[in-house]
Amino acid sequence: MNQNTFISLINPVKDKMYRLALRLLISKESAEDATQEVFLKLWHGNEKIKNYANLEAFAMTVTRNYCLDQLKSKQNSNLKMIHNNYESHERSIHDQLEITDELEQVSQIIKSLPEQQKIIFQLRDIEQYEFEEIAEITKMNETAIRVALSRVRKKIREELLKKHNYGIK
Amino acid sequence: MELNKLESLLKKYEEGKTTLAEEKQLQYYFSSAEIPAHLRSYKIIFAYSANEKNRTYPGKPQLASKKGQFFFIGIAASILLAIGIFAWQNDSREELPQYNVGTIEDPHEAYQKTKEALQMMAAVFNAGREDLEYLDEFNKTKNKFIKNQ
Repeated sequence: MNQNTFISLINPVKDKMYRLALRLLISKESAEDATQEVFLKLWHGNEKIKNYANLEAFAMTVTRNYCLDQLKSKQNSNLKMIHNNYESHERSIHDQLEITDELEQVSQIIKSLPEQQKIIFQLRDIEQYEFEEIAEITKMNETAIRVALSRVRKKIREELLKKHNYGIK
Repeated sequence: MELNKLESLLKKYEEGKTTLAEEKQLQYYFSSAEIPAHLRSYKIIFAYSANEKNRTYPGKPQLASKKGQFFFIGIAASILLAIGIFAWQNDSREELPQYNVGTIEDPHEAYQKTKEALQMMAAVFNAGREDLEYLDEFNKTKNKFIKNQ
């Protein structure tokens, strides 16, 4: 496989990879870096890719694993503390001002969810993958995915209803 | 969409049991303007999902990393350094006998010099041995002790 073939294969997936990275890492810079790193990983191991029938699922799996690793290493370093302070500071400002943008509220709710649920929400409700594909990417079984997905969907709606009073019958 | 059908579809949706086609139907429905007030939260969620899908990766995939380049520069530098040190050591090994070792051609003079050197060594050895005489003192005391027993 030469570079051009590789790039043409990866092009349709790159936005999905970036969005998944963004969902997990939150900052745009880290998400961009992570996506770029994953391109390199896939490229340098491109002999292996031939064996994978589904490049897209494989690329998404690598992205997911890479981002989770990044989060783990961030947690272990002091940087996380600074990051945390910064985050909570930001959140409190948001709380004080009360977010008016409803879409931003959804994004804040999702931020508070566990990583696994973020990934599943991202893959199903935003990227619209079939459950089979999600199972391949996350290496979870379909039942567990459905359960997690149901939890996320209910949670987001619950939180939204808490913030507003619409929906009360 | 009829409200009955919609409600049952939403229930399925919350349980994670809808198919992609059904979810697309829901998304399409909630993108329309008129939504019953009690379903407004769904409208936000579906709007969010649709909106998020528009994000794109801002860069272009690059397959040569800067990290990699520096890595190879590092290897090249260390190889050069190794060759340099190796060559320099070989060099000095060849030059050593030419100017640093006093080789004497005349056998008589060589004999004298060797004798001198050996004598010097013997003298130094003897000086060292003199100090060992103190050890006899230990033996004397030891013998005394053993005899007394």
